[in-house]
Amino acid sequence: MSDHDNANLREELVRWIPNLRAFALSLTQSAQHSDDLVQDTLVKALSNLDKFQQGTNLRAWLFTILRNSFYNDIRYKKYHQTAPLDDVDPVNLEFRATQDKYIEFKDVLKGLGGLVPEQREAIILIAAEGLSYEEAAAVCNCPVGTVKSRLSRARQRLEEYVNGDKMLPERVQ
Amino acid sequence: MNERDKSEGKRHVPAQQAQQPQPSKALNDHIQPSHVDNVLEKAGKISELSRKDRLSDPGGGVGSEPENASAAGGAAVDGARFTAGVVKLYEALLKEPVPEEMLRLIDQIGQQERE
Repeated sequence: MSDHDNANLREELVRWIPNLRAFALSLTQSAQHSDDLVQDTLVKALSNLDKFQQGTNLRAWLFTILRNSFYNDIRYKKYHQTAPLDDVDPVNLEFRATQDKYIEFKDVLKGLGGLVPEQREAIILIAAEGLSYEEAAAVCNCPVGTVKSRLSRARQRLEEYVNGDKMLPERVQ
Repeated sequence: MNERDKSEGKRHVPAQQAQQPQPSKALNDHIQPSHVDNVLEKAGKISELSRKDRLSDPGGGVGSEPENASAAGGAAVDGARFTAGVVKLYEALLKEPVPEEMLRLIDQIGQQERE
């Protein structure tokens, strides 16, 4: 890879940082841990930039690295959260908006927090990030059908949450 | 209903493409409160997605179904609206400034590789 290609890749990598942070936050549900996770991801990506295949999807590649780091770290309980979700949203994210808006974000975050990470990432990657099923499946290293199934279950669970049919657990990791 | 929800199996228009976030040099590595305020004002009240409002205004709001929609249909709409809330939250997060330390980290690694 030429220096020029390398510089272009770095530039593109920087452009995806907001997406990496948003995806990391949705996975970790913690502002601090999400930024640690993104930094880990950046270090790994930059160290392996020569392994990235030009012309393929850089975003999907970065998301895959981030996701793998997240699940590896979960195994080591590095990012394991025992604190209630209450310390995650407005305060932890430093939202200093009005109290009403705290509640608005809290509601959405609580709904997300009640999903298992696999469902959370499915809804984020597809609904929010706009990846295709195939791209999301590649990121999650699973069949397309599994992604569809996780997304379906995530939506079903959110419906139950919104309707109060089922109480979400305090937190799912 | 969010249009993304209708197009399962198809390539969606990414939030990223709709509004490409520009990394900021701002030192603040947290969400900018005033910015979040603005985003929320523009995006509309996410609290509309809450169960409380649903009960007081069944089937109301953007993307809703007729008032005589079945309970199951209403639940689907609520789920979709909640998903729309997730998208709005995600889009707000995308507009976060990139922490200066991350940009420094990238520069440092690049510098190390050159040396």
